[in-house]
Order: sequence, then C-alpha cells, then structure tokens
Amino acid sequence: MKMEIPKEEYLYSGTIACPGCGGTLAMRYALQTLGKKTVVVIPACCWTNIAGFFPSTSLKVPILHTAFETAAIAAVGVKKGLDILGQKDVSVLAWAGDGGTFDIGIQAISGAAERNDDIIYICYDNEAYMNTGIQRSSATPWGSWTSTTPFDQPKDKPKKNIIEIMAAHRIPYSATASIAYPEDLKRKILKAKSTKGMKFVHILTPCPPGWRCPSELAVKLARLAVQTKIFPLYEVENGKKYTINLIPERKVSVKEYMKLQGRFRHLKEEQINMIQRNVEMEWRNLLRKTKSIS
Amino acid sequence: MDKIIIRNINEVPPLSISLQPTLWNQTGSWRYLRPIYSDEKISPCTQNCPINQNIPAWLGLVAEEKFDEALKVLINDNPMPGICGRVCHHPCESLCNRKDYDEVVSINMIERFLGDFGVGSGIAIEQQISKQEKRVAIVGSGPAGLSCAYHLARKGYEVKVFEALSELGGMLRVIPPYRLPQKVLDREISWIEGLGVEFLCNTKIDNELLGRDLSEFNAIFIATGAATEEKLGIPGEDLEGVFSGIEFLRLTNARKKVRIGRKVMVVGGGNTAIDVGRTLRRMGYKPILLYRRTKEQMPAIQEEVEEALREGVRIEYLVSPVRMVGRNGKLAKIECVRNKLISSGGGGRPKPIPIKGSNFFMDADTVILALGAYPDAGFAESQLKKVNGHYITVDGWGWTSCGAIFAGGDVTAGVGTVSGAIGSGKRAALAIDSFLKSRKLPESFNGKQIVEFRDINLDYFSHSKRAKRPQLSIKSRSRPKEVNKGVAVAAAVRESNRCFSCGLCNQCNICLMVCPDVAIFKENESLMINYDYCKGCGICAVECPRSIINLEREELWRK
Amino acid sequence: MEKVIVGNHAVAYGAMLSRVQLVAAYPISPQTTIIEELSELCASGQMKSEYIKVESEHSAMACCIGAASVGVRTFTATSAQGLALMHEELHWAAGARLPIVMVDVNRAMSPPWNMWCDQTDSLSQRDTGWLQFYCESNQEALDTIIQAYKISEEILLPSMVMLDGFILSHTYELVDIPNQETVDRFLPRFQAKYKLDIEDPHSFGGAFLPEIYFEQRYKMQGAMEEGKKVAKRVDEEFNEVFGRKYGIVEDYRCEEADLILVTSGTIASTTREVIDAYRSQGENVGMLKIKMFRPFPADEVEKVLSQAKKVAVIDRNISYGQGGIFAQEIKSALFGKGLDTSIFCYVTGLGGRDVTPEIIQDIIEYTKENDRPLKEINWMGLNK
Repeated sequence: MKMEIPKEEYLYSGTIACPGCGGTLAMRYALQTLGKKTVVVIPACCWTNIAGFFPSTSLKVPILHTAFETAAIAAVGVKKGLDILGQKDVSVLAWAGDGGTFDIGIQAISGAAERNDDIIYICYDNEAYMNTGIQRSSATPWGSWTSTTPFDQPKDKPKKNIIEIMAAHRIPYSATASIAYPEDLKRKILKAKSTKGMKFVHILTPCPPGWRCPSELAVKLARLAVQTKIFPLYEVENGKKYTINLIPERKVSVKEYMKLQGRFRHLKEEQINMIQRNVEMEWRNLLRKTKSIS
Repeated sequence: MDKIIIRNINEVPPLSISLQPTLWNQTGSWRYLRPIYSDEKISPCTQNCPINQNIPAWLGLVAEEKFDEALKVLINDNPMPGICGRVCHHPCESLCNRKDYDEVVSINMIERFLGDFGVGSGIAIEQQISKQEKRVAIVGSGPAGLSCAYHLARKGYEVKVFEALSELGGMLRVIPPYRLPQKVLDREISWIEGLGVEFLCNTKIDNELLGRDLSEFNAIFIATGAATEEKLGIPGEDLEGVFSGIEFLRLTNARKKVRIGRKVMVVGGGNTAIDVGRTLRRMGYKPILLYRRTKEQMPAIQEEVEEALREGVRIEYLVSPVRMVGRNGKLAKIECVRNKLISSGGGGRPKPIPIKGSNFFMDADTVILALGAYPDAGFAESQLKKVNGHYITVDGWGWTSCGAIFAGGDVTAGVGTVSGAIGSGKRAALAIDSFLKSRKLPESFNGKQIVEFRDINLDYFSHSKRAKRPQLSIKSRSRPKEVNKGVAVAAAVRESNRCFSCGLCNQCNICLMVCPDVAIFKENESLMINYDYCKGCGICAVECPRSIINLEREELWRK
Repeated sequence: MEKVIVGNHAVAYGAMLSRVQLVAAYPISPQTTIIEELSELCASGQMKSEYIKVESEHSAMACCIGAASVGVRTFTATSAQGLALMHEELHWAAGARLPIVMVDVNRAMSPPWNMWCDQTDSLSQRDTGWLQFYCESNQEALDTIIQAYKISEEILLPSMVMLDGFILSHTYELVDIPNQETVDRFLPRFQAKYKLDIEDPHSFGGAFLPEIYFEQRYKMQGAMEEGKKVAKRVDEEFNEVFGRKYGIVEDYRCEEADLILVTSGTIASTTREVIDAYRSQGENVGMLKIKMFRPFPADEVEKVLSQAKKVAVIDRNISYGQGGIFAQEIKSALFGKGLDTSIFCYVTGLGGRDVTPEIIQDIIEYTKENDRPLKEINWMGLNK
C-alpha cells in the first residue's frame, strides 16, 4: 500500500504539540485536503496553543482564534463575511475539540446546524479537556480515568453520541473519521468541502499524555478503536441515510484497545465485558440504521 | 530562521496577529529517542537465498512495472534468472514472512518472469569498472564457474573458462527440457559470453595443466562440479541394464537414442531421480521409483515430486534394493527390502532401517541409478594442501588458503544446488577481486538483522491469494514442451505487490504521512528525517509496515 | 426625510444608512422592534445586509466578531440579560480591536424580571474596552450610530450606543432620516487594515505571554484616549455635513451656575425643562449632559463643573457597594483638581421608575438645602 505525497503542506514544523499528538496529524490531513483557500476558526482547545503563540503561526492559512463556545458561530460569521466580500470559494473550517463541541459549544453548533450555515465543522476528539489538564468531558468514554474522574470514581456516564445529535438536525453531511484511515478521512473532508450547508466531521484523535499511552501508539490506537467497533467509521446524509464505511475483517476485542491505555488500567474484567457488550449492541443498532434506510 | 524579538513598544502590534511561522522553534531538542532508517535489516528471503539476491528490491520494482530496473537489480547478483526461475529450489519462499499471514509470495515465478523479460528487452549488461590488467582462469563451466566468470568480467577482469566437455553449462545440461529448455540455458550463457569471457571446451585440466598453464593466471577458480556417481554397492550392480542417471539424462537431452528395457526402475530420491522418472514417462515408459525414505524426506524439490506423481511416476517409499539378479549377464529381477524409520537420536533425520524378512522381488530389466554424485578433485592435489575426501576445502568466500586458488560449486562440500553454486561463484569473484587488489574482504552478508513476521505491521496489508504458476495440462505434456508456463504481466505485477518488502524501504511514504511534525521529507527518491524538528514520538517506527525504522537513544547520537 | 418614528426604528435606519453588511441578533425586549425592522429592511432588499438569526446573544457577538475579522461592517443590538450574556465576547471584540457597533436598549437587570429603563446593564460593561454613548432622543440615536462607525473604524475599538428602554425605543419622535448619498459622503466603506485573507495569511488572537500582553493593553488605552479626540472631530464633521452636533458632553445653561446637574439619556431631556423653569425664576442652575461615557471625558467634565459650587449627579444605575456609576466617575474626574465642589449623588429611576420633572426639582431643592451631601447615595423617589 503506497501513499501519495501531497503536493503542498499547510502545517509548519516547530509546533508545541505533544509528541505523537493525534490532533496535529488530523489538522495536517484536513488542510492537505482543503488547501490554500481555507480559513480556520479555533476556539479554546489544544490547538489554541498548537497554532502558535505570538509572534508565530503554525499554519499557512489564516486562523481566527475565538472564545471557547463560539467555534461554530464565529465560523459562520467568517463565512458570511467572505461571501459578502465576494470570496465565495473559500472554505471556513471550525476546528474544535470535544469540549468545545460536545459541552460548551453545543449551543452554537446546534444553532449553526439548524440554520444549515455553510461551514465545515470538524471536532477533533481526544475524549477530555486535554489542554487544561485532562478533565472529563461528555466525550470521555465510560470507565475512563480523567483528572476529574479519578480512579476511585471513574467516568460513569457513556460517551455522548454527537453524530446522532447532528443527524437529528438533518444537516446535509456528518461523518466519523480516524487518523489511522487517512484516505477515508480525506475523502470525507473533500466531500464536506463540495457540499453546501452544514457539515460535521468527528475525528478520533488519540492523546498520548491524556490516554496514558506511549506516544508511538497514537495511530495504532486510532486504528484499534475502529477495528474494535468502539469508533465505527460511518456517514450520515441529511440525517437519514447511514453508510458504514468499514466493516472490520476480524473480531478484535475491546480489551486489545484498552489494555494499551493507562486511563483504563483500573477496569475489572466484568466492566470490560460490559463495555464489549455495549459496543456490540451499538454496532447492531448502527447496522439496523444502515439497513432500514437506503 | 530566528524568532522575531520585539524590541520596543512601537513594534508591538495593536492586536494579536502572527508575524512568522513556528519554524524558528527547533523541536528536535525535545527528543530522547531518535528514529533511524536502518540499513542493517535484511529480509529472510534475501538471507536464505544462496545468492543473497536483494529480492524485495526487484520484487518492488516489478510491482511498479519497472521491469528494466528490476532486471538490472537482479542481475547485479544473479546472471541466470531464467534458469533459476525454472530450477531453483527457492529457499527464499520457505522463509517468506507472508507464509504466516496467508500464502508465500511466488518469488521464483517472478524471477523467471524477469529472466524471460530480459530476452525481449535486449538489455545490455554493463561492465562495472574499467578493464583490470589481471587474468583469472576458471575450471568448469557449470553454474558456479559461469557465475564467477560473470562477476569477474563485470569487474573488468580477463576471464578464461576451461570446460572438459564439448558443451558449456555443466549439470545444467543434465536438466530435462521440460524443466529447463536448452535455449534458455544457451541465451543466459551468451550474456556472459557477451561480456568478453573466453570459453575453451574439450579441455580437461589435469594436475599438470593446473600447475603449468594455469599458473600464468593471476587467480584460479575451480568449479569442476560433482560428476562421479554414487553406487549402491550391492551384488549385480555391474549387470547389463544398470545405467547412470546423469548419463541417461545427458543422452536424452541431446536427443540421442537410449536402449533400455520396458520394466524400468529408478533408484534415488533427488532431483536427478525425479528428472529420470518424468523423462521416462514422456518416452512412454511406466517407471517405478524406489526411495529408501518417505515422500516428505525426499531431497528433490517437492513441487517436482508432485508433478512426477501427477504425471504417473509410481514411487515406492521406504524401499531399498539389496540385490540385482541377472540372466545371461542381463538384469532380470531386483530384490528389495522394506524399511522402517527410527529416530536418529541427536535431532537428525530419522534413519531407515531394513525390516528383517521383508525382502521381495520385482521384475526389472533396467535400473537407472540416481543416488547423487561426488566430485573428483584429485587433479588438484599437488596444488592444494587440503582435499577433504572428495571435496576441496574452502572458507566461506571460496578461498582454499593456497595462494590464489579458489573453489566453489559442487566440488566443495555442502553446495549441491544450482543457486548454491551460483552463490558460491559470486562470493568467490568478490574474494578474488579483493585478493587481487590486496584489499580486505567485503562485509559478510550475515551481519544484518533478519526481519521476522512479528516485526511486520499487518495493518497495512490485506489478505490475498498467491498467484498460481500456469502449467501445461497433464495431457499436453510431451517431452520437449516446458511444463511451467510464464506468468502474465498483470499477474506478475499483482503477485509482486504481495511482497511485504521486509526491511527494505519501498517508498510507501507512510512514515512521511504519519508524522505530526511534518519532519519527514523526500529528497532524491530517499526518505529522510529532519532532526531539527523530529520530536522522537516514534509513530513512524511503529507504523512502518516493514520494520525499517529503529528508535535509538538520542544521547548516543548527540555525542 | 422627516418622519415620526420610534427610537428602535431610528436605530434600524441608522444601521441601514451606515451600510452595515452583516447583522447577527437575538431578540430581547425592548430591543425586538430593532431587529424586526432590520429583518423587514433586509428581506425587502432595501438594506443590503446578511442577517443571521442567531441562537443567543453570546453567539450574536461571536458572529459579528467572525465577520468583522474578515473586514465586514457588522451590527447587533441587545438589552440587559442579553448584554450580560455577551460579556465575554465584549472583552473579546475590544481585545481583537474590531470596530463593531452595537445598540444596547437600556433595561434593568434581573431577577426580578424587569424590562424597563435602567442604565445598570450597559454601565456594568464599562470595563470591557467599548466606547459608550448615551442618547437622549431618537434623532441622536440614529446620528450616533453613523458617527460611531466612523470613530470605531478609525481607532479600532467597538462602540455601544444606548437608548432608554421604552422611553426612546418605543416612543415616537420626529426624526430627520438622512439620505444615503449624504451618509456615504460622511461615512466611507470599511477598509480593514487587519483581516483574514487567504492571500496574506496570519493568525489572529493567538497567545500573548506576560512579556507583551501588558503593552498591547497599553495600546488599547492609548486608542481610547485617541478616541476622545476622534469623537470630537467626527462630531464636528457630522455637523458640517448634517447640520447637527452633540459634542461628547453638552453644557446647558451652565453660565455662572451655582448648581450643575449631571445627567445622561432621556433624563437630560426632562432636566432641560426643569432648568429652563429655574432659570426663568432667576436661579442659576445648569446641566451637564454626558453623551460619551467611555472614554470618560474627564477634561470636559472638569472644565464645565469647575464653574459651580455644587454638582448633582443623577444616576439611573447603581454599582452595589459603591453608588451611582456616573457619580463615581465624576468624583474621580474632579479629584485632585483643587476644586471645592460638593458632589451630590442621586440614584433614581431604576427598573423603569418614571423620572418626572418633580423628581428633578426635588433633587435641585435637596441639593440647594445642604452644603454638603449628608449621605453617599441619595435615593430619589423611593417609596418608603
């Protein structure tokens, strides 16, 4: 399997991203796809820092930093502004973490989705408030350790299903993606680029310091999450048409994924089994949705 | 690039606006582990190949449909791909890492594909360097001698090959045409001739010639092969009707008539025995092959045994002849015993032991013996101090430790295969070159780290079936027609793409693409790491499908 | 063209005439008729602007920030709770040096729910770096919006324009609506110096470490100070084109005044009547109307108030634990100037309590009776 080297890179070296940062790799892929005619809107998240402190920037495209909960609506403002100035072929990318999407940013993203504003919203999900020190978010998976769900009381609520929320808004296109499947990720971003209206892509981006794993496993974990069906790759169009993009060839138990991460090390056998059952149940639900609407 | 420093308040912008990229920040200083593209890795196929061909390299080029370049890489080591692609016992495939994933890569089939391509492409073999003033004599034009001649000629030496028989090729001429067409052998020899190698046939080198004429040469390579056939050592072996297998094949290959009876037996389990059996089938006979051990233990290439069985050669396992009975000086019956296997203790092959009282007779008017052959190196005794029984003793490079005399192929112990002979000729050529230039011998091939199956990152591969070698149907197999057909271009390309390329970078670019710091780039078709920015996260090392990147302690490099 | 219109509509016309390119707004009484009128104007095509019906005031300001960062002229309007919700974004817009103009229809903060006139909402935002203008008539509101764009786009700080909830917003007055060409002559198109541009990409809003943040803030203060000069100049220019001037403060009949009332908003309007009545009785009372509250016109205030022995500041707002906000600022402006002025602080009219001429009269009388204020805060009109 050979990968084609992209013609142009839009990410500079020298960022202060942690070694092995999944979110940085995701941005690299996203901009390779979207190209020069892109404006990125970044709320408070890890990328606030990866984008560079004054006087530096780590991207070759313009960036607008914005307040935590405003990624979607600031992006809408930028897009409308560009349209007004006649620059209708510039993509506006709202690039937010899970906190700024699932929690504090949910109002703005719901508003933008309801209005079907023409932006691409990408949530790079490292499953906690990593930038501020690994506090839990509603994207943190059940059972995970975080600094606000310590080992004695790990997270006891399941991960919020953001794609379902976006599907309920009937936006033209939403999809999940993983940095371990770059061709699939890029295809989806390209599809988003050429679709009018609100587009949402949810990328799983492992965080070695936050997930308590060695930095070299970032891509491997992003792959295992898909192979264990914990994070299936699928698309939803207009809130109705579900398409699963990858059906894993062989059965991989969730244990294979979780044993590599210190944030799950306290889980007991029966808890892991429960997680396995849940994953399989969710997968069956997803399959049902794919079948019933075609 | 330096970080912009604001020196006075007038330089402070009124709002936060970036002034430069982050490139001033050389994050390479963060590193405590350094990724290195290792050139100390070797694929198991290359390691196990007696010629140490850089198999992943030419498979990778075939996968990209760069057949010219693939052939160039291949003939750098092996001048006889058309031959090897037909008759090699392909030890490469036995260790191919793909066997633990689905099915081994059909390396041998692709080698033949390239050999056949070589004819059509009119490729010219280049001499590597300008002419050397030294001359080398080679005794024997079998695969070892041809290979040594080839490598020395490419290095610019004047080479003269002395062949005792009237034809070049040694034991290659004994291989039947349905396996190795004569024209393939002829054309690959002509490549070597094209390099300016001089061949002198019908010239047997004896002790005297060796000492006198050949001493004019700067070095000598002895590759006289093993032509003295083993005997059974049983009563009746000298009866009329008992033939030598090698003789039989030489005659049949040359289309000469052979007078044999209808009740033919073949004794032996090696390739010669199988070749004899299959040739007899093509002549219309129904031979029975007697082998003292089991099928799995036969030294012949297993595929050959399978084909022989499919073609109707009857094989009797665990049978040993004990006596040949004649009538009027002619062979009439053969007495055999049945064997049983007992373990030989120290982990060696199980031994066959005759079962007492199991003797039986079979009618036979012809017995062809194919028990193996040993060399006759007596002619070199005066020159060489060490002659171990029949074999010339040499080191790993083929040096006899006597002056400028080297040896290889079946005349030395432990070779016994075509590719083994070719490999020994190549190593001897390298050794002769070093010897004549008074240089130290090059690094051995055995120092590198073999890439194992567990080192392969399977996430980047998917299962696929091995390409089948196209063959003639059983019905269509008559004497001269080659049984194995060449594979089509598309199938060859597809099959080559199955190669994992263990330990050899095939420019898949995955490392470049998975670096979050954009610290891997390509320069002149080579992948390189920008250590100014590489943080040593190690993702490239884990993701590399073929285990080429090692992570080493940074502090060792900083010194 | 002269027309009898409510304050909210005057504001809408102000935005339209200023050739606003993007409106992002969320409804809240008593601002609603601004955005309703704007949506009619946009829908009919009379106003060539994008109109985003956002899902909250916080998003309204964020949307304006996004659009202004591209170099587009933006507008929004809100009141009380909405303005409070926007608070984070107000800091953001100022720190990002974006020339957004917003109308705040002054309304009381809740609980208890109260949607009537009170200045506490806008004054609570006085530290955010926005310029603040308080209007006493519908005409002034319309005119101030146009002026605000010119000022903001020059000094690169946002402006908020206040009108009293219900008293102006929903009250009809005669307004001279200027014609578009005249406004165009006065207010050119917005040419952003700093903007998101794919041909010249930069990152906006990235971190400033302690070594440099201080200096950026110093420059913001510098811009505010510059704003005072620019506002005065723009007012002069406005007068030349439209024949109306307001000044950043207005002194009304302060010649030889013993007592000067300090007012803002529609209380100024009412106070004018009371001043006239007193003057006609031979009493020397005057009024200082504060139009521009941020940047605070300290010099102008000192110049006017130094004439009088007594100053009565009327605040329709309060900063709990301190007192009326205008009063504090006035005191601060006069401190250390060697003046012997007595400053009386009056708080009245909170939550839409009507400030009648009688109350003003009471204020004047009370001030006359006492040499010095007896209390820090004098609550006028409180029902005991």
